[in-house]
Amino acid sequence: MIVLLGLVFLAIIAFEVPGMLKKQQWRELAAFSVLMLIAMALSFAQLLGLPVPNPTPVIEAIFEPVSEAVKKLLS
Amino acid sequence: MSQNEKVAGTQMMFLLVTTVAATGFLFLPAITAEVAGHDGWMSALLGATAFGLLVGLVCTKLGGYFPDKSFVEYAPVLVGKYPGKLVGLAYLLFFIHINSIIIREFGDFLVSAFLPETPILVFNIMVLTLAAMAVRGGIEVIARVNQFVFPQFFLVLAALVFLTIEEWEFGNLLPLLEYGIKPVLAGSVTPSAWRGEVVVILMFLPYLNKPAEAAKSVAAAVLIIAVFLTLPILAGVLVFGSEQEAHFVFPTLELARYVNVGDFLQRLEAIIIIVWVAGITVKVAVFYLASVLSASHLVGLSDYRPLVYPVGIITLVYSIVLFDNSRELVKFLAEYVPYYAYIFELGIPMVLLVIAIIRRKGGKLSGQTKFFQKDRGS
Repeated sequence: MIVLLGLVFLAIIAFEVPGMLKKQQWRELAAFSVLMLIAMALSFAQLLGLPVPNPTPVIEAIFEPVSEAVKKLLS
Repeated sequence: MSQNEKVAGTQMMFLLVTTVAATGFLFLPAITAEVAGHDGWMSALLGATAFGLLVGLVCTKLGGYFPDKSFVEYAPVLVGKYPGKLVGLAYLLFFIHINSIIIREFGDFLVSAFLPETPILVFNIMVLTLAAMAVRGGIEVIARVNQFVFPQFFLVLAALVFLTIEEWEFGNLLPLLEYGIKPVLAGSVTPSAWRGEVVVILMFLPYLNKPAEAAKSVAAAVLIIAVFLTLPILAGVLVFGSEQEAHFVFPTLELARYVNVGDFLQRLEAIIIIVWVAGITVKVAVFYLASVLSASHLVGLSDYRPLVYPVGIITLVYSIVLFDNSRELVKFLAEYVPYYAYIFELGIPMVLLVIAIIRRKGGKLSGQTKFFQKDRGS
């Protein structure tokens, strides 16, 4: 599974990078690399069962009071 | 900027209709029935439409100040470089987050209703790969795919609603406003957030061939969506009554199972899949394009295509990670997403619109040329 995922990433890099090098799109290359690193970190972490930052509990904690207040107001 | 692609106002209108209605027709009926009971259709028809129109008006008005730029590009011009970039980043994360939720809805529905043995990841990868291809093609391609998808969507939904007409029990709707207006308002909280998804227009306004028609297209889209989302809710209550409707996870699916014309036309739920898969692919592609465009405009790239796959993989990971199960997803949709989405759908655009009006009228910035010069420098 890990090997497969690695192959997918290699394929994407092989598919995208040569074109950017040829056209000398350095900004694009930099943005691609940063996003690709984030994507790799997240997917390998998920695959290996490591904790992945999850916004759901944060959003729930922030909007819990609002949700409760509206419910009370409108019931 | 490579914004040579143009779409017509009507194409954009139908794109927005598919974008909002594709998931709404399945997930909304249960949510409104639970909160607003048999008055749920009013929540979807009135409150949500008003909110959608307001969002559309604010977004198109704001975009009107910068006809050839997307929201992420002009935010730094309005509120200063770093706060503006921060707003852009927030929208990038918002689009990715919403897209992950949409993909999760897609997978969850297929797993729970049709293919319980298949891992959800399979469906998520499928829809994301399809959408990635569409996004690499650009907005014109997505708009044309939608021209093919929309009529099917319309026909299937109309068939579902009107083939049950024999079973309609209008007594289920009475008494109107049994518990007053409050449950109707409470019921419109979630549909409003759904309707507010027309906010993606912020990223697509520069692609309209006639920017002057933008407000009209968005308003028309919101009104068509109102019909599309109200009919399934109405039909569900008419056939099942609100109490039973609230207990179904997907009332529209039950409606399809219920269709029986002369013991001959039965088990129509399979055709729901047609609408679901086709509509969701367009919807995911729209939000996917919005997030990729935000990412590329945020750092000022001339070509967004290299970012398509990395952004897609991040979206895919989050579509799995965000929720542990279906229940959690529905609870999150019904109780937390609306307030969180309101901020991005109405709050931030409204604040930026006020700033745009003040700075224009205050005369601190002398018209469009200054806007552009400042942008070149950054």
